Amino acid sequence: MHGIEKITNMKFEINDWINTKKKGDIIVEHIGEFSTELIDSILPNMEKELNEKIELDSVRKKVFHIFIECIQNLHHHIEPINKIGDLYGTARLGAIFLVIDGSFCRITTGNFIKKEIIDNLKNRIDTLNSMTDNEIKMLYRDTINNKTFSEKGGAGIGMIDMARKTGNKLCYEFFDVGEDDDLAFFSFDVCIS
Amino acid sequence: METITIEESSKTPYIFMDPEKGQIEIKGRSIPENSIEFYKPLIEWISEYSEQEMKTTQVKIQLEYFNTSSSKCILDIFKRLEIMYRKGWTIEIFWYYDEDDEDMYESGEDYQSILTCPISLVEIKTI
Repeated sequence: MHGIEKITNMKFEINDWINTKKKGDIIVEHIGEFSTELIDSILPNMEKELNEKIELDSVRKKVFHIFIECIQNLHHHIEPINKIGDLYGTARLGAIFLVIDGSFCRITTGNFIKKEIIDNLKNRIDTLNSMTDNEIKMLYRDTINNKTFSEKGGAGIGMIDMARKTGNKLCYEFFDVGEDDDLAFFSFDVCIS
Repeated sequence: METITIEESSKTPYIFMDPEKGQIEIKGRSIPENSIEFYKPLIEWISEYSEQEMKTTQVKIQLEYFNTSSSKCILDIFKRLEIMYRKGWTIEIFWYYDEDDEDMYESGEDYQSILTCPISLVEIKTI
């Protein structure tokens, strides 16, 4: 699943992408904007369902923690769609799914990003995926201690935290959206086992 | 100097900061989208407090969840307390974690590794 997937001679269809991600027992599904109010409305129900479906406190806490990071990433980082028109009634379109699939939980996010950040994002995730648990721990400590943060986050600390807490590889795809030269669609999966 | 008391919300923790007793307490969830805005008055309070007469200060942090932006803000608080510690203040930091919450324990270890000011990790037994 790693790597840039260039879709040539083919239009990126968000509905096709959504269908590929809706596998398993869906706990949360939201496609649209990610305002603070929307996040506030999703969290209580999600927590209730997690309490019913995941027995182990430690796993449930991990899932909740990572879900917060993912949904707040969307809140801060969705690029508005310019040329391809409003999908799902909003120009600031993102998607999140939390599914239980067999023995693991998967959190998937999808959002439009500027193409110019693809290389940086890809490098950061590839680097995390190549690191040992201890290296990720040291990177987390170094980043939180030495890097500057803004309200939008900082230095990819959210992804470092996800890689550290799950111990699993972070999976991603970038899709050309064709109609908008500046934008790409970023699909991101994190699994908690 | 005033005591700060902020009630817990679904995304922000209970805050109690008492300059007379030398007590700082942060308890609950810290998962706001705007952590910097939430913690700014707390950090300003500590700046003012650090200019008061030196006294033993107890800091209790007991979090159920906190997002990465809050973790940075909490580090900023600790760094200000560390400056006070280096100036001779007695600063006692207690980091509480549930016995089955390995991630919260590791977060306490992260702060211990970054700071020279001592931090006690305190396990809360599940009943």
